[in-house]
Amino acid sequence: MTLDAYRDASMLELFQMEAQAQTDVLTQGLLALERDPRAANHLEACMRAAHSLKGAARIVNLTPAVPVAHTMEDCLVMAQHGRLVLTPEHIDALLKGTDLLLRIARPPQPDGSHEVDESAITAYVASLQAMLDVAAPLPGGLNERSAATPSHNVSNATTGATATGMCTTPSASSPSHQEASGRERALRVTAKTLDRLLGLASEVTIESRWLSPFVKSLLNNKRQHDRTVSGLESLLASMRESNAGPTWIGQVEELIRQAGHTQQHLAERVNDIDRFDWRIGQLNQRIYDTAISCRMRPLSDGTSGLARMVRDLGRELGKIVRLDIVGDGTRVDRDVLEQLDAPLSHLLRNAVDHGIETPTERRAAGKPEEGVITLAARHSAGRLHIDIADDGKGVNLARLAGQVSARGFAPATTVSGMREEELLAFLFLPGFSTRGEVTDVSGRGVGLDAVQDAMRRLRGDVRMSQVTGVGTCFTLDLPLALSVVRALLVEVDGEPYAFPLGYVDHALTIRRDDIAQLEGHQHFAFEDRQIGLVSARQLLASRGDDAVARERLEVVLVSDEQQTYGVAVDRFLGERTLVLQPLDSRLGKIQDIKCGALMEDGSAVLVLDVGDLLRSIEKLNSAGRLTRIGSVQAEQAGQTKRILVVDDSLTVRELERKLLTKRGFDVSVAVDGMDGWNMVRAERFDLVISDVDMPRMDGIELVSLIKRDTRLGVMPVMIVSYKDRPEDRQRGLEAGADYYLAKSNFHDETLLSVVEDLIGAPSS
Amino acid sequence: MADDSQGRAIDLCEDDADDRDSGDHSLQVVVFRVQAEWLALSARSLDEIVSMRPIHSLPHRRGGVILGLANVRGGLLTCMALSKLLGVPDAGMQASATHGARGGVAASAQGGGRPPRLLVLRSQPLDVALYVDEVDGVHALNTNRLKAVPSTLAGAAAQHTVGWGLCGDRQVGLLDETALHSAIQRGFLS
Repeated sequence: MTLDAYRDASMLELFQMEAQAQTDVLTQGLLALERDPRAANHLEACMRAAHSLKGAARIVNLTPAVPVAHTMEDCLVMAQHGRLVLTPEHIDALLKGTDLLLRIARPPQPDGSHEVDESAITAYVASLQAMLDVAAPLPGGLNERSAATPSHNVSNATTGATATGMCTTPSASSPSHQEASGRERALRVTAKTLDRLLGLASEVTIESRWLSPFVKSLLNNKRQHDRTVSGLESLLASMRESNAGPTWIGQVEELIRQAGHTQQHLAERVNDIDRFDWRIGQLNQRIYDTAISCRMRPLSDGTSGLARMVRDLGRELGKIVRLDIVGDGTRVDRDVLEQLDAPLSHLLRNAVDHGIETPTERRAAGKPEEGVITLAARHSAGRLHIDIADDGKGVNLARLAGQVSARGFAPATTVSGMREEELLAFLFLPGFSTRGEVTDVSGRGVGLDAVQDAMRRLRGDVRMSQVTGVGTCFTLDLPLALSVVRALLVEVDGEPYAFPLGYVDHALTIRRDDIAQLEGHQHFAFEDRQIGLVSARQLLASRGDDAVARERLEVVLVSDEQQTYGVAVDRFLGERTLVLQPLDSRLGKIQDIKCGALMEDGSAVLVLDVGDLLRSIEKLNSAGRLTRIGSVQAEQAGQTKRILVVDDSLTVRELERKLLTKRGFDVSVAVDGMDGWNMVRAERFDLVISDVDMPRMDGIELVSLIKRDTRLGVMPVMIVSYKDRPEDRQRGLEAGADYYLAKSNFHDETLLSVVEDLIGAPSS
Repeated sequence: MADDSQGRAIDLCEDDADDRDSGDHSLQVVVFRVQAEWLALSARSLDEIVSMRPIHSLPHRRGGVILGLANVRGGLLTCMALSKLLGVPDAGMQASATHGARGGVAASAQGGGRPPRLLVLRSQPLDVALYVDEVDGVHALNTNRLKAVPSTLAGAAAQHTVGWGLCGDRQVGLLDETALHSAIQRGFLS
């Protein structure tokens, strides 16, 4: 690369940065202008952005960009002077212009060709110019500004002005510009570097704690010294009493004087180091906090393009749609933010396409013509919640139910018994689309399942709710950060554990007298509710004896949708920010544990998996009942084949259980792959029947875990899934499944005959 | 080098000058004690040797090869009891490693007065910390003069040693790295 070419390249990069910043300003302004075409501040901001781009393009010799920016500027100037009122068509054209500018700014392809050819530019300029000519038939002063043949003789003054504009991007002369420049300059840093910084910051914090005990030991020295001096003083007193010689007395006096000096000196030093300790401690804390906050970005960093997308899509589909974003300053970890982009645009496209009705339909339904999609983000208990709600038509449940049975996912009788939640869950299946026809926008059958996958990767969840005729709402529930979490630290059997704050309802202290026995379980009253009490020692299978007869118990309240439980811990250690660390993957999933972290003193703490914990509690709670029925089961255990059914849908689980039990098998159930994995390791089964799509651990992972295990590997595993495309089948069989059955077939004899093919009759 | 009373890490990257003149067949080994057995492991395979530190036990996985997790250089490593990994019989010399490890109080009163340590073994995806009762230091071992494993050691530990050699005046069993690594893989599954 020649020096000139290199310079051009870096100039082009500079222009790209400017183009990106200015087109952001333009897009934002244009969308606002569509609603209020006369908003002077937005007109001014857009005009300036176009103007700056034009100047910048000239400086970097990006000639094709000049006429585009120039015509856009003309259009905006006319609107400013009231000679033209911006219509949606104008906005369309201007938005297209910003896209064109961005594309022109991209570096040429390896073969030297440019992405945008001249004819496209000429055509664009001509079409926008035509719109302007219609609006202002009088040539007036406009012709001299006409951009059809851009002038290359730029006066020095103009060049100077735009050059400045480019360096101080974006120039601060309008409200929206000021807003943009108020945003801080961003740097690109790799996540790895940031993580290392975070690790080192925590190491420094830990290391600096060495000073405190050091200061204490110095203080001990100082006290020792004080005692020596007072010893010397009493020696001097008794020497005087016993009339010792003046030379002796003089020597002791000299010693006392010297000791006094060192005493003072030592006191000053101790003081200094004490102050130093405090200062360095403060600094370390701030370094650590800053390092952590480096990872957080405002949500607006990830939502800038969404309003434009919604608007364009609406126009394409003949709908009027507006996107309102609430809480775009909400801070989110950058990893989360990056991975949110795809699911958010998916859901928004979905809302515009499936949710919002056409203006005619909306009028008929008594709604305003303009449909509104609200994206509302907020922090709630240490997690990020994003609602994407539209005021459209909602879901036609009857039609959905019809489709579920028509496509053979489940027989009509099963479908009619399904709750709304269970029906809506079908929309998250790959290949399931409620649209009769396939559109370009969504309804390609790859929609909500991709959103669900993305959410699971982010350790989050997506829920859907709807009111027919009123609207649909998707709620995303995510951790704020993948690697940093606020947690309540507790001690259990001498070791620290952390409850992520997002899962803690309350932390409270109860008196022993408050605990009541109910049906063999311990309960206590809290806010008019009876809450089951479980000991953390028992849950975590600690060896320590739990019969600590303490007067007060420290209890953490955790809950899922149905139940709230109190987990009694040994003591609270306080609230901390923890940087999560993955454990060695060879350990596999440790029940009740999510991952690890380091405490301020450098010792390890385990972060609890509250979802796991709740399941463990439920099992413990029902254990009494289980042992009672256990005696009956034990008699049959020798002959009856045992089957484990793993499925997250209650309907399917129960259906399979009934079917198999009726045939004479002994059936146990697990609610997801993780639960299933824990059960197959704890008990003996002859067959596992698993669904594919489940939270926490899916069926494929469960099958591969079982098949990889030397002891469990011989046990047959069967997959029953709604997913029955050849590639789904392939995936299941590759993981090691012995049979892959489509759910549409499981209600008839097929399930039973496959089961008997695999493991024979119920009893042998 | 092994006697740093500060409990600081022993850096294995430093060459031990005394052991340099032992010829082409010498192997730098770390010599340590597991229960009553003195064993050696190629220094190459270790990242460092660190002092005993608190080990957080893992719920539902206690009492096996895995002792728990410990912070080594800011990362959480899995700690395993080398004695259990190799099947070295409990010589009854001291309380179980877990017990000594819990609360971070190293059981230093027993044996030669040298404290127990963690050998940080290079492994993927993360290193593994192996609990040993005592570390003697880094020595050169002449691999040409290795003797067959004595019949007295025909037990479980024999599977993991390639031969028997002299380090100073002490007979040590040289651990087979491959066998050790596969024992660790199995240890994770236990």
